[in-house]
Amino acid sequence: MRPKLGIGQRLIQLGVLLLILVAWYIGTLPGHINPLLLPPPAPVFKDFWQLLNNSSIWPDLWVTVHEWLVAVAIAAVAGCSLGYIISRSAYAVRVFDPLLAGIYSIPAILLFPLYLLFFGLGAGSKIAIGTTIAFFPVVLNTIAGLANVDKSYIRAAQSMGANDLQLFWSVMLPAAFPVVLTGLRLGCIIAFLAILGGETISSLAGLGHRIVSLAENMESAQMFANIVFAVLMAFIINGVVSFAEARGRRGFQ
Amino acid sequence: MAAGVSFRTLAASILALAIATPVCADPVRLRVGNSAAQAFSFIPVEVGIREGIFAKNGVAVESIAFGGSGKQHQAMAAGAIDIALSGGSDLSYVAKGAPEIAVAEMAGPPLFLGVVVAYNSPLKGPDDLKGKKISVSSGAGVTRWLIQKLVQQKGWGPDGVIYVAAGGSWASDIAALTTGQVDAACTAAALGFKLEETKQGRLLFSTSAIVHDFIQHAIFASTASLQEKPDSVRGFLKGWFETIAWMRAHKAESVEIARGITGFSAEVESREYDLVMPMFTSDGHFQAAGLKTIEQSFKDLHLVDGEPDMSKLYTDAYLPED
Amino acid sequence: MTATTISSVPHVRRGPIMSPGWARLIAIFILLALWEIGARVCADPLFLCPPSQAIGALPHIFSDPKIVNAIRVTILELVTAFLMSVTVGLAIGLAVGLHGFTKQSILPVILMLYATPQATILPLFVLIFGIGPAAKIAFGVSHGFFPVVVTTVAGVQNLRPQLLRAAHSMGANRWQVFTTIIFPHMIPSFFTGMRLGMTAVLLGVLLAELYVSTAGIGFYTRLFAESFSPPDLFALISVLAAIAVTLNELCRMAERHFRRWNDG
Repeated sequence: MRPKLGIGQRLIQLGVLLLILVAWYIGTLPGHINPLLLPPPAPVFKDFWQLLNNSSIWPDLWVTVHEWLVAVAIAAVAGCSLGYIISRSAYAVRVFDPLLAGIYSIPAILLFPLYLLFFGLGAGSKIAIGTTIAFFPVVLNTIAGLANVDKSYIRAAQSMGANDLQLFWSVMLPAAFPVVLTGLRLGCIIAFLAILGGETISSLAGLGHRIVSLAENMESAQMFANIVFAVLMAFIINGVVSFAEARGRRGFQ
Repeated sequence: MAAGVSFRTLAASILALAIATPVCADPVRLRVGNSAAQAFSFIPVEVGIREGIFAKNGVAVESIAFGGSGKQHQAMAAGAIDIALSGGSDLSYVAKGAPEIAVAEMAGPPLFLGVVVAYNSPLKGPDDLKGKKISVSSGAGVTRWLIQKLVQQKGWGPDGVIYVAAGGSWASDIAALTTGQVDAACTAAALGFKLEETKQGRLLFSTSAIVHDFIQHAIFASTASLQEKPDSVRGFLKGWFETIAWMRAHKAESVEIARGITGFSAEVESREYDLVMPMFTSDGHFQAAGLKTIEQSFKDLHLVDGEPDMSKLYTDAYLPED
Repeated sequence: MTATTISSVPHVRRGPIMSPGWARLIAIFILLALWEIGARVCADPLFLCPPSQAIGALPHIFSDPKIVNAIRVTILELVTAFLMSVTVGLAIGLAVGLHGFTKQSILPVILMLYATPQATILPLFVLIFGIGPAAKIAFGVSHGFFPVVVTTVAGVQNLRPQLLRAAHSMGANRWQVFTTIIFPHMIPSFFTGMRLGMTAVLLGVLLAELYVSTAGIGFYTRLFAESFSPPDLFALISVLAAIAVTLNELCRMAERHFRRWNDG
């Protein structure tokens, strides 16, 4: 388990956040940045507060979170299992790892119109794009993690008579776990961003949908209030994933 | 083959390619944005550049395409463009304090837009839209307002049709239509012609059937460009209206140039030319009736607080004098 | 030991039926064949075309000097943004990851910034960098930088502090510590991060290109997509994909190069 944060570390975090706020405030003083591009913090936080008190955001939030959860679940299961299967053979790793990496480097978002056609304007297309984008870091990191386990550990375990399952649970998984978790964490975050991105291109509901319609109407303060909300969501998601990661790590030590 | 050598060779060649790449840095006089590269409404800029009409009026025009009007006006507020070719409803941005003003009414009746349905749709006309699902670009955009106006005219009540805010890209409208997620799409009228070729869709009616007195498009100039280079703005507007006159007189050539951008077939492009060309104004003067409709749309969509003073949002001062 | 050893002797059968390179080619061929059949049988010609048509549209793409120039500019933007992301990301990742104190205090802030949907603040990039290549490079870096930082931090987090202390006590300087202890330790995750970063840079540059474009590659992508000409669109996407895959392969070659250098 990670050590508790000291006061100094908390202060640094606060300091960085304060610095961002101060830069934001100074940047938006009259005569600097046009408020249509970046409104000052005060109206944004006023709108943010209204957003929290006004229940209109919850349905959209639920749409986005639901899309994200489904996308991450599919990507995690598919990515980890495929990664595991491929990593079992050094030959398969050499065949498929470059292939998957190559496919991953093709920007899937360009194909979003196809997703719309196949999965519709609603949640389906967002889940599909989120899954596609999150799948690759998960599978690539799973392969990287499992294929790079120190061979001497494996040989040692095998010579002590460990079977496949024992080998996997007590040697492979603990050794590969940090890398796999990094992949899952990356997958979680970029799935969220991809879903938001997909929602801003074409959607019926969701946080991205709200943000883009506010942007089209140049309601900058409200738009940034929604962005603050989305950032907060992403931060919470990251916190949950990190917590799970820490728990998971402890489980293997 | 050693990995090291090929790695270095490849790295070196990519770097060399990158360094040798010439980045165009011609002196730019007037940066003219539009909100959709593929829309016929903005083709005149391309025609004017190609036919040397802007150059003749002493302006070097650089055309810049945006993916939507909100983005375009943001870029204008950021000082990245001088002129914006956009929707007439974007006057609301001026009302909200964007550093710009409308300098010409570009197009009046909403001929560019239309209601498109699937080819074998049972819908026959505007009356059949009652209770149907219609895709519009956004919850408070001009397509939404036009349909809302239709519902009002027909007296269908607040739930007369179901609006689906699909984001405004042509691809999403067509995807929604061809997969049956919506019954009709309020989008570019020419998409109906395009889909007719493959028997996938057709134009039900042009939105000019809903309102006639309108400002479909307007030309906006940034406050900064009006201060720094008012003559270039004047030159641009003069060139623009000369281009419109040229296009009216040269259908075949205009259709060819347009096809190079829209990718439509000669037949579809010719039909689009015939339908849309009359919407362009010949002198850019703002018409009171159109302004009134736009003002009404602001109220209906709650786009601006209180009574907008429309006279503050535009000026005729930069139009060519005849 | 490496795939290159095998591919240099393709006629010698070792272990499984064929060399990984050939197997990969066959897998790609199967994917393309599935796409070809799928597109011919059941796809909407407005949105999808078979790969043979996309290949047929390549000459059209390359015969237009404007498109060729757009591709060149995009390559320049990509490479610049990628190099900047890796350099800055590695430096910050090491600075943050090597010390528990900074890691626990700064990493959450970096992750929060990472999670900001950057597309929504693109207008600010336009404000600061204009609408030329600079904005696209900056936006690419804002995407590519974070995966490099995150994987660098992950790569050094299991490094044993004793090793570092031992090296320092034996009088190793920073560079020596980096090349002999830190870098070898983090190679797998760093190169994964580099490849993730490459993909993210490509995404960032493209999003910025799609947002505003003066006849750049984003302009043509949007144009081909919105005018429903899939052969042109997929030809352009495959050019982009080829660029991406080349850069990706470059990273892999670098990875093998450094692993060997490290082993030897």
